[in-house]
Amino acid sequence: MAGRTAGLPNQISMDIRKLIDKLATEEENFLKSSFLAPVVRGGSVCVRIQGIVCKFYPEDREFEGWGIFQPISLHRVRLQKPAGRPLMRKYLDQLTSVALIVAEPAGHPPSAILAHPAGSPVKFDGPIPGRLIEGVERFRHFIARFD
Amino acid sequence: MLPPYEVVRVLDFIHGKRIRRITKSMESRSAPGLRDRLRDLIAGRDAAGPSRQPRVIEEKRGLGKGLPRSMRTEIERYIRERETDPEWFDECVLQARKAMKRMYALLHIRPSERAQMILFDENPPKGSKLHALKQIGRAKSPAEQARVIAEQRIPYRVATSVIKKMTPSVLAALIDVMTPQEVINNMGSLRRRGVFDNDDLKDLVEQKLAAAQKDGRVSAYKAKKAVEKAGVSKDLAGKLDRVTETKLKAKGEIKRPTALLVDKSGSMDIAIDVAKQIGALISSLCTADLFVYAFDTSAYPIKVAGDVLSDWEKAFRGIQAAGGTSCGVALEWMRKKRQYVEQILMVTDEEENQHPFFIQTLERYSYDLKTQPNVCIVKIGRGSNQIQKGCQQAAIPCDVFRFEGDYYALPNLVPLLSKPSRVELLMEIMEYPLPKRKPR
Repeated sequence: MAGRTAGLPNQISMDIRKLIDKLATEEENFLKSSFLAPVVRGGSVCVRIQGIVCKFYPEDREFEGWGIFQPISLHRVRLQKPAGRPLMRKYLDQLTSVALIVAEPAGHPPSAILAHPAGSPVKFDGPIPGRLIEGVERFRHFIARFD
Repeated sequence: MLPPYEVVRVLDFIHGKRIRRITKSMESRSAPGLRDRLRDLIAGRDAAGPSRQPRVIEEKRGLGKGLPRSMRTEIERYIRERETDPEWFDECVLQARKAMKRMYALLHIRPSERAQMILFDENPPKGSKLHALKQIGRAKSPAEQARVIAEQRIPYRVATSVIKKMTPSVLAALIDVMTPQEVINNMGSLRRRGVFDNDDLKDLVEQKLAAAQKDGRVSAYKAKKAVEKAGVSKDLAGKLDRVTETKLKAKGEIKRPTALLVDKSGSMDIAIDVAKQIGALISSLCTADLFVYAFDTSAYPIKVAGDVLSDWEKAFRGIQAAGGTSCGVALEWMRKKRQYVEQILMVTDEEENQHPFFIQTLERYSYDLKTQPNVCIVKIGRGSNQIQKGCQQAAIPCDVFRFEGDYYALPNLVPLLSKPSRVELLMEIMEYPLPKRKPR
């Protein structure tokens, strides 16, 4: 029949049913776990559940820094405690490192430029906004992480 | 058969429609700037006066005529046909609820009991897709939403408007109900959400891409654009390329020797860009010779190493838009080199201002090489149509494809190039069966 799309309701394949059940179980398991993540004031945290990027909002919208969070729903997370340096380092070691030079330390947000644009694993035009930067001076080299 | 929203567009055009628009409130600005204050001062009005209040403007659109009786009868048939098939009716309402309601209301068509429940009582019957849509809205968890979407095959476009949270299970259900074309269109978004980092979901996407090769409603060029824009991995890019290749091959094969002439005169940057796209498109379909030239007042032969866009980008690297326009110069060069073609595809704005001119050169070329090539002009911009007119006067077959920024329309060139003649293309169109009125 012209103009009509194919596909009848209730014809769900077993594969997709199994897949949805499997992923739903992973989501439930995630709700029982806790995770480490950086967050800026009023921002969100991103977590990968089975490779899929999911965004959550911290209960305390004023918190900024590195924290260990516990999900309270599939929308919100609660800060359990701020994270210590060893955990932060472990987290950062998993990400791509890029050498940057501080361009504007007092900016909102502070900005930097690529130290070696030619060999850089990330491509950026212009200044790169930085978050959670502590104690830097203009023209200082530092290592940043990208995901 | 037209979808409901297009039927309503025709209805509204004949009947006319009143549109109420609210002009932007000037008050919403934090404070009037110096320019506004000066404007007010010159106009002699108070800055906070009535001119700054939002205004409601009512516009009438359409013909404002009564609808013909025959049209009402035909639309009633259109609606009744859908009412008798609940699933079809549900799909129509899911896609175009407002349009369906307007058809009933404007033409005073009495809805069936089921249609009344769905459209006007907001109480869809249990088991219908519309009821499922309400269930998705009320579902407590994303997993529950995902199950309803997959079970009831809620279209992707509708489902995305009601889901609360994009979790892995919801994403799996959405990919499952997506059409192959929707998967291709959303490739960038799927990549950003991390779908290709999950093996199961990646498999689902690959199944859709395999289906895209056979699906008649998939646009040939969108898969190619997805590769360029979405930044997908190499193996997935390969699969998308195969979709493009299959869809293009289905459009036809170019068996006649062809020349692609590209106008690179001043301000013809777009022509160069379009030529690269066309070149990448037709080179894989050409089984005969393909000669490529860029021209301003001189001809520049272009050698392309392969048939993918990057090869064409590389081949055109030194070509910059500059100089006068002599549309015949490349053809003259081909005449001297005795390069035989049966069709000429020229990307130009037709603003030729230097010798040798195209028509005279084409006549010399035809005489010397004993051929009468078809001319197809890909017209860029809104310049003159002197070459078209010249072709008409000299009785040279000429087709014009107007390029107005829509790169996805470029594959429509292929039928023009793959058919032996325009008559054959016309015969194919004439053979297409026209819709018939169904008996009562």
